Amino acid sequence: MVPYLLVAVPAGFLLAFFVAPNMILLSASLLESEGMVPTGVLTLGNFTTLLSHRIYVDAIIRTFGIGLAVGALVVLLAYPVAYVLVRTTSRWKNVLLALALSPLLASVIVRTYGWWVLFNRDGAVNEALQALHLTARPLIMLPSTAIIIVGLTHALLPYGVLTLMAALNGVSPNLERAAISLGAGRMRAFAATTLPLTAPGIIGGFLLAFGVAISAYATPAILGGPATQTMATLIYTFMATLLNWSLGSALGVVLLASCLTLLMLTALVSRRRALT
Amino acid sequence: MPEGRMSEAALELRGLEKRFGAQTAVAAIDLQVQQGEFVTLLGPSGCGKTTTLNMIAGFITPDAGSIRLGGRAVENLPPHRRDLGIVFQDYALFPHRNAAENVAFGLRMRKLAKTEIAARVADALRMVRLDGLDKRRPLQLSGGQRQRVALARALVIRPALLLLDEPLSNLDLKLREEMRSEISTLQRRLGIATVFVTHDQDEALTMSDRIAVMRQGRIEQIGTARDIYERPASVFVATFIGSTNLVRAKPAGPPSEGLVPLATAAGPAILRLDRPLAAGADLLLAIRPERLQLTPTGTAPDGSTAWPVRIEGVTYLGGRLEIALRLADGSPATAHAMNLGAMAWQPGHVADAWFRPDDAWPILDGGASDGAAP
Repeated sequence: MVPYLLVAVPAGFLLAFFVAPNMILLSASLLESEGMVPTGVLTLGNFTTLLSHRIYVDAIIRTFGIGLAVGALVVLLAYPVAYVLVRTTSRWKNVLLALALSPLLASVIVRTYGWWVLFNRDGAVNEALQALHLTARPLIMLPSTAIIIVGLTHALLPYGVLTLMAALNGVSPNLERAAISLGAGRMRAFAATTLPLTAPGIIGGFLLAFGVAISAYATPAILGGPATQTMATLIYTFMATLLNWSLGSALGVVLLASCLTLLMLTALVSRRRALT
Repeated sequence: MPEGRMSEAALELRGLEKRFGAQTAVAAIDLQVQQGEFVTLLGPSGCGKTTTLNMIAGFITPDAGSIRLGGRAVENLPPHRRDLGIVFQDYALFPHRNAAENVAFGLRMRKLAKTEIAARVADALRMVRLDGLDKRRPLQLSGGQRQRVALARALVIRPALLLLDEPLSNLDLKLREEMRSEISTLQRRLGIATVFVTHDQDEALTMSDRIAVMRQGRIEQIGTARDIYERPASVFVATFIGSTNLVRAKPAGPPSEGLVPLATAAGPAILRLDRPLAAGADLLLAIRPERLQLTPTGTAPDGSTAWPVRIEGVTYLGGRLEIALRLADGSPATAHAMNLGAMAWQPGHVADAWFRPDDAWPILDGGASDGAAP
């Protein structure tokens, strides 16, 4: 009895305050709505509206583009860091590790505003460029999709480092040495041993960054603008500005479905890893 | 100069040194390994044996000294071009490749023809008695089989030198003894020069042509198993390999006919030595427990050294008995006796412990004795 009770409390909490509101919200995606109030009429119109307007389709495509770019950048940048952190025998190892993960200590909002301070019209980057006479007038770097990618990559890098460190910890450094002793150069040895053996970590790190990036709100909201809407910012606009709950819900369904597909992919990958 | 090449050592280390920060890991090591010779680097962990191996392999760059492989200086040769066969402690088999692919790796790096690779891989697997298991992945193999794949993978490239880094330490006792003789047999059959790193004295004694006993980055003594065991150069060597009784001694007169009289804490002693001892030298006399024999007082053979002892305890070890003794000066000693059935010795008995002039070895009680002296 006691174990069931232990599970029942949190399960009840989640049902009441997470599952139920989400079901209500998502069910709105299939209902026509007048203003904020969904009517009782069933329709697929919300989805067709989303997919027939260029501006919404662009936002969906942009979101996936950001996710792919951030996922790839996080893996590319985190891999060397994780590799060094796992393989180093330096007594500063723990300090280096703490430094690599220190961005986690600051809130995403603070870190994102940091990028804004750097890149806005009167920001540090523009002042430096003009002081060095590299540009005559300030460059407009904000808002832009590129800066959103930079901000998200920065925010997610520590997670990538952690994921890849876990993968690299499972690979003996002697494997590369063995390959080298058998005549492979350093890069060849890495490509023949550590790289394929950490593939699940690479895929895992990519999916993690991709999943968080496509559903991120704060970073695209701060570093982006009306021309760089993502699914998350668009949902907010539908809900809070346009007061169209049905469209917001429909877009929420698209986002949720993408994330679930991703989770399933992750599960498949880890199952394949468990089999080998 | 084909004649000169034949006589080149397979490996020659001269003044090899490595420091990590303020710590000296390897201090001026000189070592020669002849063609076909099996040399063991033996020592406790942290003695520099693995660092030495890694410098030979090229994974660590020495701070000073030279490394020659078959007469060729290799300090500036990257590790993948040194043509060495290495067996690692954890075997380092590629887990995502099967046994045959593991063995083939070095041959593929050498860009040999597919048919030749297949033939040589099959030969190598047969050599280590693994034919038929070529499609198994490392995780599907037992510890001993993995060890054999690692050996085949290192040997199939026909290296000039084989490096073994504690390859037996991950196996259980029975398998370890089996692999010990298997590696020895293979090494002799192929006649390949081998450097073997271990902290296990039994492996060193049974497998090696010569043993280099290392301590704190230096080679303390190098010689055959018999040299190391019976004529230890230092207290460290005497106590690291097997157990030994150490008794303080001084020369007690001039040698006559190769026999040297000594005065020891346990009584006078006579040694047979082929070298003179400096008068007044402080010595530690090393006597192995199996060479110290017990006999009723006054019955020791003529010409031997006999010391009065009191028996403190007898430990039953099956095939032999370990007898704890107290010498005349009150210091403890140990004698081993074959278990021949009759339990003649009991605690409290007084007897003579005797040994022949060839059965003890004098060690200069000098700087090398810190920490290990009794």
